[in-house]
Amino acid sequence: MARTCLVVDDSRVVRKVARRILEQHGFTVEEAEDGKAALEACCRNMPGCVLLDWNMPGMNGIEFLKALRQAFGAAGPPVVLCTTENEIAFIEQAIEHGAQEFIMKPFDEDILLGKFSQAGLL
Amino acid sequence: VSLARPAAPAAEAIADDSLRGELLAKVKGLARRRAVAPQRPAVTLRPRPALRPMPLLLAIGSSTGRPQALFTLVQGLGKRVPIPVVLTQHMPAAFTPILAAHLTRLGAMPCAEARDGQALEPGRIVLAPGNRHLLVQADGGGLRARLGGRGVEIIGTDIAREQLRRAREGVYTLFEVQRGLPMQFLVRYFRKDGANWRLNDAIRAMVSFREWNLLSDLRGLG
Repeated sequence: MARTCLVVDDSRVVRKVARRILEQHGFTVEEAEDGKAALEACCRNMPGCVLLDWNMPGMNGIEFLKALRQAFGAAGPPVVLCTTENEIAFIEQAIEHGAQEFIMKPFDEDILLGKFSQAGLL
Repeated sequence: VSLARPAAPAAEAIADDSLRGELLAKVKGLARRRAVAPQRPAVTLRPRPALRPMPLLLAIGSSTGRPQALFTLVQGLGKRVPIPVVLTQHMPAAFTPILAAHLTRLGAMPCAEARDGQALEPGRIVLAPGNRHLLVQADGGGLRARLGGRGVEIIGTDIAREQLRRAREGVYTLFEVQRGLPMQFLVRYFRKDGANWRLNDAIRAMVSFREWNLLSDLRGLG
């Protein structure tokens, strides 16, 4: 069964890098450039997991995460937050809102795959 | 009740109607009084409270969460505890001597790390050393401390001094802490230190580091 990942980031470069890594490891990748587009994508076709940026215009990552959990609860997909924010308070906030893992940018292939593995996605 | 002593001999006195009448009246009167005499209040029998024997030992177990609660308890117990006190605190071995000294400084009971076989004395706290089980053994009329359990020692080795220095310091870059470390552990055991992350002292104290060539004889590692 194909694994699907929704990559949500306002940076086209980050989306491209993440897509390349994930596709090399068997994921089918869909992209969204902000939280609102990501929610619409989830409503259309629920992904197996979400790689989510925090700081985005419009609906940011945490707002998307809250809306996702509110709409789908435990049935929603696992979410790995990926952000330049690296204070403890941000990580705690991500945990509180139901993120499975937290990646601090910049990241490389090992870190991304390691975090997906820890979240049980690989 | 009184009755006038008859002057005549007893046989004659009993034959005397007046005396006999008086005697019978008094006996019957006494019998009636006894019959109507108020009853003594019922005695409520209460079981005597069981004598609680003084415990032989006060044993305290304390987790890592709140040492302050332990300090408050020990201060509250005061100096005059008539039985020995044993204490186990979830804490790395490097810190239990410091804890014992601190408890002593509180001014209540003196506290020291347990030595295997030492007699436990009233009014003294004996603390289990880190990574050891503290057992109490009855010995004649007294109690003795026994140190049991399997102490686990974690030793990190490297042949490179610079790597050992970094390992002892426990400071990791952003890339390093993201390799294999779940974020819950990062939040729980690290704090930000500039652009890096510093492992907390309690975890660092669980590991000792030695410069060692693993191709040499390993028996010296213990």
